[in-house]
Amino acid sequence: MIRILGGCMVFGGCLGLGFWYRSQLNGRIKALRELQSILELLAGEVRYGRATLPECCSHIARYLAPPFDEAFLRIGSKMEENTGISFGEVFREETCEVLAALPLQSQDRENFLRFANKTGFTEGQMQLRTIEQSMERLRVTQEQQEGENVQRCKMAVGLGAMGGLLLLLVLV
Amino acid sequence: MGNDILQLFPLHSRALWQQAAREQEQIQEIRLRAGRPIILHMEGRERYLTAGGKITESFQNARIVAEKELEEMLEHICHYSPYAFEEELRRGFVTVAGGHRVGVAGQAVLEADGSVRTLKNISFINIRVSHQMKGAADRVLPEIYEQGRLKSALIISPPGCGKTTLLRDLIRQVSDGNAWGRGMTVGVVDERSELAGSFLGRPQNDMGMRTDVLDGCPKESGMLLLLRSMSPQVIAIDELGSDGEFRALGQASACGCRILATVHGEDRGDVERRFGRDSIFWEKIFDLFLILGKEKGRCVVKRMEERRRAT
Repeated sequence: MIRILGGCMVFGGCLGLGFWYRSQLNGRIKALRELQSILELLAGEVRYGRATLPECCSHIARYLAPPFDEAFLRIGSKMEENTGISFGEVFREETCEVLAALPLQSQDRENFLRFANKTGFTEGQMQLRTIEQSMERLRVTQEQQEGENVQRCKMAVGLGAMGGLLLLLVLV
Repeated sequence: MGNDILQLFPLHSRALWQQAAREQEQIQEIRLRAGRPIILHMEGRERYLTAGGKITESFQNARIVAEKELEEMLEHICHYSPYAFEEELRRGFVTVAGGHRVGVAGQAVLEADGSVRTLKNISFINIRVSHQMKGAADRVLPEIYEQGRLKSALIISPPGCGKTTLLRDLIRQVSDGNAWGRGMTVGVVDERSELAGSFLGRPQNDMGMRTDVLDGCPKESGMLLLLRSMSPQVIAIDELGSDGEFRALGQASACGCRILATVHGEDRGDVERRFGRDSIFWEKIFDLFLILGKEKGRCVVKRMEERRRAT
């Protein structure tokens, strides 16, 4: 009886691992979409409001879901304090933790943060372009992921189940 | 005002500017030119900033400014978003928190019609440190009121004799009220952000409790806008110039507003000649003419002339 129970637990654990990996794959796509929508809001503020980047962050905070809303408010207020630290550094510092909690890869994070290090344009169009470039990179990654996602998800669950069965065979 | 010029610099340069910031009250201008020494204009004399951040009289020890430092500084001043200051850069200056004015020069990018689109390769920065002199108008207050009624006044002055400083303090005292008259609603059209030193629409200088400031707006349209929207009892503008401004001024005066204004010139005759308008025009609008000038190197009110009474 204990053997059967143990076997079920091992199999269930492996299957759960497969499901967890599937949720990570889906979560990455969702997070990539969320990052793009944040950048889209920022671009809108630059395009139509001609606001400074710190102001943009404060403005869009009210439209963002937690935990991004608080992070963006902090960026705005930190920049208002004028401690002398550049926008890029403050932006990276404040979003770092939030991004780390999302199922993203380091390349995704870098693509999101890329625009914050490219400031100082006297032309609004140029600043917009840097934001759009970040969006573009995230979009390409998202589309790639979506294309492969169905198969990958099936594979993750399948591998989990098969791994469980294999372990059972080895243990028995 | 404290030492807020320090906030103009990015973090890594702030150590260099510590001493200068402590002596901010004595600094009129800070001149930064790419590849040239840092020059501070203090109490009418030129001083230099050393690499260690000390203020010295000898330019041999002065620190040379790198072009990259100017770029970083401008970016910091513009909140890492110079595109949002496009209009200000086109005009050649940015007003920052504290009311200081940062003038810039470099390479102009022109539109097809020859107008300036923006400036690039900024290689020259001139920081004009703002100093509000409260009490500058104390001497003229008894003359500017007649039985508690404010007279319309025109301040005539050559450049650098303190007409803006005098007007700013007049606005504050008229707005708050003083020993000679009750507080009045003042509308200020601050086209070049020099009077109020507004930053993001908020005056950085004390303009009085009943003052409304229209920042960065052309004087002509600004006066009409204020008349319609804020019903001012007094309209104040700095540096009268164009025909349109005179027309708007006449309209404000006809609406019963008192006028406080400044104009470049040596005396009334000089102003009449330069603007091609005879004395009747001025006397229809203004009751009092304050003529400023320098005596023994100090800026003073040389004369106060009343409107000529009709006989």
